[in-house]
Amino acid sequence: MIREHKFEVDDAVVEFFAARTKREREDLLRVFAGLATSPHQKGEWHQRTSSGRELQVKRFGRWLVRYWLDEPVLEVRIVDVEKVVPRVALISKVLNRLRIDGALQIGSEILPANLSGYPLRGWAGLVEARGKGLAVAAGQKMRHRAFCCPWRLSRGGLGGVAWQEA
Amino acid sequence: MSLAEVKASITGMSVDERLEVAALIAHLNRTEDPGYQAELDRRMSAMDSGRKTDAVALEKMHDGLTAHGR
Repeated sequence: MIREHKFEVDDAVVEFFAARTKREREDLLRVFAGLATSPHQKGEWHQRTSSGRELQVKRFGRWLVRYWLDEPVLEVRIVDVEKVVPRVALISKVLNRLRIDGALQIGSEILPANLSGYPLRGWAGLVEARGKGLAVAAGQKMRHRAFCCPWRLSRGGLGGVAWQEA
Repeated sequence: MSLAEVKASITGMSVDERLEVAALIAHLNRTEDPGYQAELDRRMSAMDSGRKTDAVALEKMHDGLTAHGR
């Protein structure tokens, strides 16, 4: 008899899932199903919890998934999912409302300042734009800082961070 | 490798490679965050106690949201 694994997700992942677009939900369902089909695949990285439990951390396209395999019950437990890159359309809207200050460098700690009030919800994302089109970099929602990864600028330009204090 | 070299290297990357770098940074930001580590424990304990959602329920939710135009 073939023992098939299945996936289970945490409530926070359900909430995240429900807030996604149709296409994104379909994408996530494929990712989750793929994990259940290949439950022993290792992540690129590991994440420890405060009690010392360990999760696999693996990127699937723009999704960063944290999971662990509960082998005795044949379950891949998906504990967290985050989107690596904010949507360009959203960034584009935000960009028009933000005052961008100063160029950022990798690893810069950005203090909560120099930002006009825009009701961002839950993330801080680096935006860089000038010249041809829009360049976007991933930002990470954190408390009191954002860690930024500059994207290529098409024709020079400024870096900045969209900010909301956690 | 200097910061300038790192930046130059990123500039020359493909989109997928940049995503990988962005994912690494996202991971590094999380990995030593005590608050996040505690939150993961809380979630794992909740799942251990049965608070979890399976594929059938998630697909049903997806279908429901899609039916409502979302």
